[in-house]
Amino acid sequence: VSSRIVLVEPRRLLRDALTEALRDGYRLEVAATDGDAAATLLQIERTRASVVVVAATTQRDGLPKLCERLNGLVDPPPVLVLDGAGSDEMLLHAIESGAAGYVTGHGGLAGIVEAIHTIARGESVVPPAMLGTLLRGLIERQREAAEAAERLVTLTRRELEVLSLLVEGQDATRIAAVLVISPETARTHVQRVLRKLGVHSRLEAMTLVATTGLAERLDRMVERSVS
Amino acid sequence: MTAGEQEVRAILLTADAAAGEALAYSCTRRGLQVTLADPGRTGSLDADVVLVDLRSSGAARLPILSALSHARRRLIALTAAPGAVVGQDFDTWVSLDCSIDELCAAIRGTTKNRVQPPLATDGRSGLELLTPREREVMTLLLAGMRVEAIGAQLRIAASTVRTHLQNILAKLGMSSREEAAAWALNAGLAPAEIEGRGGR
Repeated sequence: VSSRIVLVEPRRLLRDALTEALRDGYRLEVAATDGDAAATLLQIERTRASVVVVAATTQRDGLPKLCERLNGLVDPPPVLVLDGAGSDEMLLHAIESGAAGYVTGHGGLAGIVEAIHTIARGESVVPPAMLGTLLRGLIERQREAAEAAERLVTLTRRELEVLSLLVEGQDATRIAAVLVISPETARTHVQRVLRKLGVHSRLEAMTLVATTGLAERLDRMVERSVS
Repeated sequence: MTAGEQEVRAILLTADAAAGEALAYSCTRRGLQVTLADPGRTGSLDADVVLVDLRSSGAARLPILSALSHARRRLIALTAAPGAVVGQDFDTWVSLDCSIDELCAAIRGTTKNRVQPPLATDGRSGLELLTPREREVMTLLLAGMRVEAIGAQLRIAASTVRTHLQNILAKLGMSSREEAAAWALNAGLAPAEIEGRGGR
C-alpha cells in the first residue's frame, strides 16, 4: 500500500534528505514544505495526501493551527508528529494539538514509515515507553479543568455574565455599560469573580478559561441563565 | 561522482537515527560513504571525516569530542546555530538550513567554512541575547533542575518556565535544551549553586 504524504520540516537539509530517502528508499509519495501554513494546506489539498508528517521543530503554535485548519477540510488526513530527539513535553503538545500520532527518530526511517502506514489506516501511534507519561500529563490537564469547572459553578448568574464579558477583554466600564449597572458595582463583581476563581488578575482569569476549555461551558451557562 | 575521484569516508554521530539515515542515504547517492554511529559509542571511528549532529545530547558527545580533537580527522559540526560551536574543536560547521550538495561539499573539504561563530566575532559571548530572567532559568537548567523545580525555585509556574525555555531556543535557533545547555556552558554561563540540594 503506498501512502502520499506531505512533510512539514523547517530545516532544509533534513527536509531534503527525508524527502529523498522516503521517496526513493521507501517508495512513498512525498511533497515537502518548510512549514508555511498556507503553502502546506495547498499541498495537502492538491496532493490529496493520506498523512501529514510535521517535524517537532516547526514553530510552536504551528501544529495546533495546522490541525485546526485541517479539520475544516472534507475528510482531513491524520497528522503524525516527528520528533527526532523525543521528549515527553512534545508528545503531550502533539496529542493536545490534535495529532493522530507521534514518532521519535530513534527507530530510524523504518520506524517513521511504519508509523505513517499505521496512522494512514486510521490508528494512533504513541511510543509504548512514553505512554505512561502521556496519560499522567493528560490526566493532570483534565484534573485542572475539572477543578476550574467546579469553581465556575459557584458563580452567580450576574457573575457569569461579568466573567464572559471579562474573557472577551472588556474592562469594568464596558461591563457596566453592557449590563446597565454602575462602574462601581461592575468592579465589585469583577473582584468577586476573580476571588471565586482563585486567580489574581483578569489576564489570569482569561487564561484559566481559555486553557481549561471552559469557554464553551461558560457560554452555555450564561445562555441558560439569561433565557 | 566523477571517475577516479577518491571516495571520502565519513561517520555521522547522531541520536536521531531517522535523520541520520536520511542524510547518509542522500550523501551516499552523491558518491560519499557515510555511516551512522550513536554519539554515546566509544568504539573506533575509522573515517576521514566525523560529522557531529549538535542537536544530540550535549552530555553524551563531550567525551567523544575531546577524544576526536586529538586525532587527525576533520570534524564537522551539523548545527542549527553556529553559536553552538563556540570554543569547540571543529574544523568547520554546516547549517541545517543548507542543501544536501552543500553538506557533501563540506564533507569533501571543497568548501572552507571555517568555524567563526558570528556570535563570538565581536567579542561578545552571545549571552547578552538572553534577558536576565532567561539567564537565570538557564543557570538552574545547567544545575540539572527539572522544569517544575525551576518554577518552584523562581516562584513562577512551570508553564512560564517552559515559555522562557521556548524563547531561549527560538533566540538561539536551537531545537533542544541539551543543545542550548551545551552552548550556554561554552559561552561561559555557570550552573546555579542550589542550597539544600537533595534535602528539599
